[in-house]
Amino acid sequence: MRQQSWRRSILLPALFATAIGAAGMAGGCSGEDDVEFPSGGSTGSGGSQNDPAFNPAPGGVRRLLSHQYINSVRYLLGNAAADAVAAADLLPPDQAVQGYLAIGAAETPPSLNYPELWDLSADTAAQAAVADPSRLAEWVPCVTTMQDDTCYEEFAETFGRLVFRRPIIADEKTWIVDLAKAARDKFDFMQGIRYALRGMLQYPSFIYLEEVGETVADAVTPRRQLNGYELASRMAFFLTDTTPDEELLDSVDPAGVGLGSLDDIRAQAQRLLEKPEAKATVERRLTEFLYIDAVLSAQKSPDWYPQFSDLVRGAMVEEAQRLITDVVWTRDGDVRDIFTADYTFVNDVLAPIYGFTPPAPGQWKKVSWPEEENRAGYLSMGAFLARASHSVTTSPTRRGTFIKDRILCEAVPPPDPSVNPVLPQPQPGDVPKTAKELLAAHTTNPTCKACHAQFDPYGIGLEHYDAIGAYRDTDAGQDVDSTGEVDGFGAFESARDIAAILLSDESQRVSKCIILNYFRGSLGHLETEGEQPALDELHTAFAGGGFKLQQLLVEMTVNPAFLNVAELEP
Amino acid sequence: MKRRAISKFAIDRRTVLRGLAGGSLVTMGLPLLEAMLDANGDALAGGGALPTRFATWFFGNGVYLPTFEPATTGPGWTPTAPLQPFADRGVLDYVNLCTGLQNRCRNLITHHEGMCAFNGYDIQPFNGPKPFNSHMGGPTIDQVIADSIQEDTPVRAIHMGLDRKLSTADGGTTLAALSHKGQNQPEYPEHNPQTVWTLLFGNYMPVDDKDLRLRIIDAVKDDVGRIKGRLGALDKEILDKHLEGVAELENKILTLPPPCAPPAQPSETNPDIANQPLDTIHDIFADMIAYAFKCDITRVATFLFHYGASHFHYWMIGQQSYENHNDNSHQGAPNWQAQYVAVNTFCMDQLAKLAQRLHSEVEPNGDTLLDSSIIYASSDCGVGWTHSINRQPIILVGHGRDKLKHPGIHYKAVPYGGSNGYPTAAGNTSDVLLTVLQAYNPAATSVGDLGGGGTPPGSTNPLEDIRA
Repeated sequence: MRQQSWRRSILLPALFATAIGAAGMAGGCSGEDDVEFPSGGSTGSGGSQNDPAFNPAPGGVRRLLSHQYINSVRYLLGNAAADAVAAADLLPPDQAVQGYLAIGAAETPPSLNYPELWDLSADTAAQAAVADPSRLAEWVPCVTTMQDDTCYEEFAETFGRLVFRRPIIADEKTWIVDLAKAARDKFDFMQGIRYALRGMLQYPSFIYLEEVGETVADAVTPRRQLNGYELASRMAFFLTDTTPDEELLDSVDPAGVGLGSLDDIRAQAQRLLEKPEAKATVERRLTEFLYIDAVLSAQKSPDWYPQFSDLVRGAMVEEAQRLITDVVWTRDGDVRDIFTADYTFVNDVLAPIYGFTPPAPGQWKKVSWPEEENRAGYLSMGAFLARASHSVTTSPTRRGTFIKDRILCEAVPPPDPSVNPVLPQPQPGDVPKTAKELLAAHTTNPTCKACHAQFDPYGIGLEHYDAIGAYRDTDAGQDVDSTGEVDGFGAFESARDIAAILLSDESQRVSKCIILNYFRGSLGHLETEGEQPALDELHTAFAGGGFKLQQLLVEMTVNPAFLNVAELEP
Repeated sequence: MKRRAISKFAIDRRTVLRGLAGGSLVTMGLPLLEAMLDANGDALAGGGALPTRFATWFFGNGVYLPTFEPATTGPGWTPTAPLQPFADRGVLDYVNLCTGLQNRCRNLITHHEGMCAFNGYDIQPFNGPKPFNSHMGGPTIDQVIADSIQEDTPVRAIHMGLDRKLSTADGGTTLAALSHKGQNQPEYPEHNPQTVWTLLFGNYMPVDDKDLRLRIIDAVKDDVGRIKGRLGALDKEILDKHLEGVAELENKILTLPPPCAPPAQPSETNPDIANQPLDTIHDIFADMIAYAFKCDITRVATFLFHYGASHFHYWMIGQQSYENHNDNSHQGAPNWQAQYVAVNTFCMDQLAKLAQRLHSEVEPNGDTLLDSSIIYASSDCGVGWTHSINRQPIILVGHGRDKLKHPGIHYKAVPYGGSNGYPTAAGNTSDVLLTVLQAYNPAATSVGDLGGGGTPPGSTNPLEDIRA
């Protein structure tokens, strides 16, 4: 549980407060490449881990998320078992804390019924694997041939290592084999395998990632370095949302002393990035960070937006994900293009929303945003604009808080509970007001303004895009006024203006925020003050490489904040 | 850990097995529970008291107090329009309505503090990227009551959620669950009726593999012990809670299922779609709970109908453009009061339907399930449009075997007064919690947090007015 990490951490606007390169690491990680990472040993390398200010976040245990459980079952036991677990929908629900599922999985103790849900899911997978043991037989051929006591032992050792992501210990081999034999005596050989699998797939060593490490002697700041198996698991779930594959486990020194040099780790990360699971993982992370799929359940008034069907909702999700694929994989370009791109992708149901000529049904085409609409990237896409709106009207507040929270990584302050939030009521005979006029109290009433001036204006800047993302020049019969300004950011009147400021922002908030989203949403904790030198170092490398996400992900796996955890608290 | 002995359900095992065929439970034709009762039908065959049941029921975003609170008090009170469903569904006599009470939570961040009405502890706010973050400060009343009455039912408590649209502005656990085992120990609800069905009815296998499953339990416990040995104090909370859950599973494995028929597995999964049919899903949950109570599979249930600060549009009653929460509190939509009242009425009708469903199940001694139950219902504020927790209403349905007044009364702590969305309130919502707790555990002397400065939210003073 990482609850205390937040107590030590600093509020987000102060992050990266030390100047980039303050740790003397403008050169990135050069010079470290040949350094071995023996367990319990000092690397003696340079880098931010030797900065006295560097202090990694606490380690501990964190639960696999449900898709990580299913993906692991898919690798270990095959598609039928994984599909059965997914269809049963009996895994514990993932619930975000601090806005990230991974933090919820690290900080929230399991609900009382989770062990039963794991038991049910484990048995669902086990029964499917016994019904179709073809994948299991690839790992342990004797399960379909020899079917004897020796086979149970081979199964425990070979398959146990894959499931627990480390070699099994003697006591574990004993319970697995004894359980299998007991079930065989009652039923038959394959039922022995079934009950053994049922046990292994609810075993804490499978359910939890253990990230405890070993104390590093003579470290500048006390820290523990993840052992090779812990690091292999952290890398695999970070990059591919699934269990480490056989090759990665094989790369761990049998004595458990690590994954080799930093370049060895980079090579493994690069290899993992080339797997299809890596593409799905990037898509899933960004979908969570940007709430892309939340548009699927966005309620809209059918009187106002009869065209906003489930097909349109689905197309909006795919539109955003296609942009991600294009930027990250097809072009391997500057990942900030997700917020600045002057093009998008549409199919036949989505094209009419934006006023494009539809492609043939089933087809997608790349189109350039019309110059006069001043659109740019995700901030002008339906997935965002419709999700962060009401059913009829836009919501500059929701749109603005999203930009502040997820794109700039600035904490959104809570309102003063004593503030009466009631806005002025429309009176009979009133001229209808635009969204901007309705929100005037947010920018004139001092108690509202203190907070709302920090985010509402971003949303005002997007007022030319209506509650489903279509372009408009009028709101409530009046001309749209999309001029907005936020202190410390700048003045703007369109998505394109905001995108331009994101790129020219001296404090480089958007690229730093991409790193922070990844840290929080993958490692399961909010960044701590002690991680700052490592984050600074990472950002320097990110910027130096042209803000390419693939490169960032590889560099994260060799970052001191990724390789280390804090000393245990008593 | 010593395993619990099988006690209450130690009826002839063959009786159970007769109910099993083809891998699933089938109807036995016996009235539910009858096999478990003594010859008089007024006690369990094993000598224990007849079971009492408890549920909490939550709907977010408060009520429109001017039209919600009845003018008449005491017995024979006349319901207002939002409360009329209880009369229409024939269960008004079972309602004890408490209004005008003060929720005394001392930490205010909007919405979260309202949940103090379910446990009497201050919420515990924390900082983070999101504006609204807190954990519940202690166990909710359903958990405290479950500790008092669990005995050996196969399922300690079941938690159901309807609405799936928790606000993205929320970074905590308080609103995400109605039941909490303790501070930062949410018992997250299940939203999928099929999952609830499986947890209640679907996990009693016809194959006697208890010995095998207990071997697994032992292995899991050993591994938790090994991991704990490597960890600092913080993560041990996670693993200790894991062990608590393992003990629940172990209890279920060891407890024979009662010899009664489950309802058919529902076909609905309640996915997170734009227009969730909350009322339809609620009916399915209500059906399953009626069965589970009557079969004594569980005695405690919680219903999270729609989240605090939920953005749900009640499309079922034609509110395609009116957004509950935003439009009743922040946006000031035209005609918002009438729409807000319509949402209140709709929610109360769901609660009344649950009560009606329980009332339709008659036990062998002639009582209905509503006679043996108490449903404790409230919201996350008293006044939706200001988030004020003054006058947070509490709706109690059922009397828990003559522990609460029946016919019920309307208790009003203080007349409606004040203005601008912050009306006058008096007393303590936790007094109601304590009264309800004592219905299940007469030895209980307090509920909630009694320490700290100011006026603590806990209580040592049960509300005698509603006690039978």
